[in-house]
Amino acid sequence: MRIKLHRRAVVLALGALLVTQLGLGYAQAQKTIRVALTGPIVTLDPANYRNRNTENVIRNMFDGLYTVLPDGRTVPEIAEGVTQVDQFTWDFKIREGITFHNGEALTADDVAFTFNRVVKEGAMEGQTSPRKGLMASLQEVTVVDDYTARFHFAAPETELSVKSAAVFMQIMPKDYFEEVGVDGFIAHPVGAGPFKFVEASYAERVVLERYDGYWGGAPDMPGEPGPAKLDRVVFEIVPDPASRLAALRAGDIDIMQGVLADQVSVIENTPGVEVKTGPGTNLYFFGFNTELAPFDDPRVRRALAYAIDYDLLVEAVYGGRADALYGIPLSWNSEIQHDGLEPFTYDPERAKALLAEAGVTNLSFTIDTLGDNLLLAEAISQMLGEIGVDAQVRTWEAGALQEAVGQGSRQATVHLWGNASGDPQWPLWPVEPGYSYWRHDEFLQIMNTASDIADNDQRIAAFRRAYELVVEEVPYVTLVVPQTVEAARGNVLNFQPHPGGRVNMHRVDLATP
Amino acid sequence: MSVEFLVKRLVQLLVLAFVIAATVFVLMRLTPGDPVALMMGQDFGVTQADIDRKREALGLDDPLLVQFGRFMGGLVTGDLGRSIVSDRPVRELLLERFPATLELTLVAMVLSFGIGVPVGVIAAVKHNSLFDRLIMGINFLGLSTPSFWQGIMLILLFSVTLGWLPSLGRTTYGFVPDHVTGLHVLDSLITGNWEALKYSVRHLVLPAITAGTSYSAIVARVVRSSLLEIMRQDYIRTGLSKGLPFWRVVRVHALRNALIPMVTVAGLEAGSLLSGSVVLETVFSWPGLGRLLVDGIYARDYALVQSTVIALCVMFVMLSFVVDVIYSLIDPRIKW
Repeated sequence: MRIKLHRRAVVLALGALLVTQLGLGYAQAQKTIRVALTGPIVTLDPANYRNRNTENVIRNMFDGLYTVLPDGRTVPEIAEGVTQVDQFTWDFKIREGITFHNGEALTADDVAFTFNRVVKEGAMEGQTSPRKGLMASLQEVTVVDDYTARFHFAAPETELSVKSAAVFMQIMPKDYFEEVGVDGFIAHPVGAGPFKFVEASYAERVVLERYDGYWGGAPDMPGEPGPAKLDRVVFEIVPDPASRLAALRAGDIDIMQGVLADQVSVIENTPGVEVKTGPGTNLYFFGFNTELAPFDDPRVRRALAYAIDYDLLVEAVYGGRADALYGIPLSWNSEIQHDGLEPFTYDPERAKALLAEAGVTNLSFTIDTLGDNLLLAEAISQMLGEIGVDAQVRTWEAGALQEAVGQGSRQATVHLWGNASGDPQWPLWPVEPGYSYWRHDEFLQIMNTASDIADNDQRIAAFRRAYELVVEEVPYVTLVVPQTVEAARGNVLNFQPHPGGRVNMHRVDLATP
Repeated sequence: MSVEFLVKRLVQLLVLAFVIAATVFVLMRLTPGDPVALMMGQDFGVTQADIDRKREALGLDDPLLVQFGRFMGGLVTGDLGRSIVSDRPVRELLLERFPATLELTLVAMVLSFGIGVPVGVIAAVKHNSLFDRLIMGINFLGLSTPSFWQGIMLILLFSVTLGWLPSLGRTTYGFVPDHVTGLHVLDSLITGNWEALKYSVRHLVLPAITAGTSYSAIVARVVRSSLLEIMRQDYIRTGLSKGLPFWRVVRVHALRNALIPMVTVAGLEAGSLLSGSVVLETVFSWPGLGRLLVDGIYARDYALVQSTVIALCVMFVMLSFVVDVIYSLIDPRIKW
């Protein structure tokens, strides 16, 4: 009996201890910000990824020659500027006095090493970097002097394309990399960005701390230059949107990426947290396989473009947080845009008339899309239903859809294309690599030659013509560009969502309670 | 335990591993979607030549039989290959994730048996009473509640509304114990880091409850039904009629005989939890094996998926071996 009592007492005591311990709050170190990413990172090698979460972490540790501001402008970062040497060659002037986290000076040698590892065949330890595709026609970077790097392109590129290539790769320290090798580098990456590496568990969290020797950051970036205000940034991997929101509301994270449209009102009604919006760069489109009847008839494609109520899509699917495109391809390059393109304003009667003119009755087809785009695709399906078109929606996982659409075995698709670059070719992407199979002679001629036109005015004129053709012939219908929606706790200062989804923590601060 | 039994089990394991390896290898390649295309993106700058070069570097351009041979050869020498996406050794990725899964499994099992056994015993002993009905009703609710919903509800209640417990991850940054075994609670105890212990336990509570309660419902049902049957046996009636205390009869004579189905359930639970619950890991941002596997499938990371499935299969077979051994320990009549 005595023993039993003793046992009970121990159990009770342990239970009491547990309860009191659980009830205690836990303190955070001062100025540590916690950012919820939507998925695991894949590497810490800036040359070996194509993944947004990885980019978020890497770009707080590494700076690029150029960077994109939250308002979409491309501005110098490590570079002071860029000058054109000839049709194919551009010189980047590097700022002096920038050091990597290990104290070494950043020079043109590091710039050449970084870009050559990406664009040269097999230069990434026998493999080709997955970022090569972002480098326009860059072939090689050579060193002119300590602070001038020369970029050699295979084709004449616009200034914006050259700068975009410079945005998409962050500078790595040549000597350190060669000393420690790729595995050593990934285990302890060293960059020239505002934060330096502390520790990482790719599936769980990455911890960075302020680099006190930071050079100050892009002069055009809003906020105060100089070393970062925060002591530490902790990226937490939180894949589930509902859990991310709960963590934000509970105060377990300070910034939440990947806010869903239906979460916005919850956040707005929660004291202490705020919705943050910024321009978006994901262009959603409704593409047709123009090789299959009746989509081979431009009148049918035009009819479907008129059947879509773009403003309703913005309201119903995105709660107003999106911009309607009305079938006009959107480019970040303001030189290409022109007001002469006539938008497809919602006109179901005209849509019906066009279908009748094309002799199409009882049109029935399938829209293939990703699970994430289901709501948008179903809204379109319903709108098409109102002009008597039966469009069924079928959802797929990304890899399966990519392959099926690439093989031309699908009739129509609702898909998206990230278009953060000012490259005038990019908004035409839904046509080119095989989503529309649109064999239009003049269009293909422009796409094959426009990039090589040396004269800027002529090149712009060519691309403008390509945009006109897309609006006239409708190989795909641009729908909307949703805004970038993120959320933060009220004490987070100077945080603005980036159009490319990048979380730049350099000038973010936490209000002291 | 005979040598014959051990050899039989080993052969069984090898055959099973080979069949599973072949099946996963073929299934992954039949699945539409190409790892290199998914990885390189679909940009103007990416040429077919770039994709081909990457495929060549990864050995994906070799005939399937060659690829399979290479994969199996690697397995034999203990080389699980490198992840296509992250370019890291799969072995390293598995070791990184396994402790998280193991820790959650162990705590969830302790919880499910800690709740399930007493509840099942009382329900059986008080058969058809109000308590029995109530508890079985609650059990039914526990069984039929999807864990993602239960998890989110627990987070909303204990993290968002009450603010008692953290909503995500294995521990709070700054309170990670030094790595000894990878199990945070154990490592905190070994290193005497009481702050880390507090945080590790706090982070474990909600996921363990979510994982544990659905299994505790199963355990309770199994215990209840086997006890009900055993309590009607002659030797129980004999024990009671010769004047042995009731609870002693239940504990020593009845419960011991109900252990076999409990061990079976424990084996199944351990197997299922160790292979990683994707839902649970997603809801609680728990960095375990389940999410590693699913992310690998989405990215068509062949090497990662193949090796993870093989590792899980070996784990399952070993668990079933352990369960068999425990059977013979509990019931000496069972001999292998």
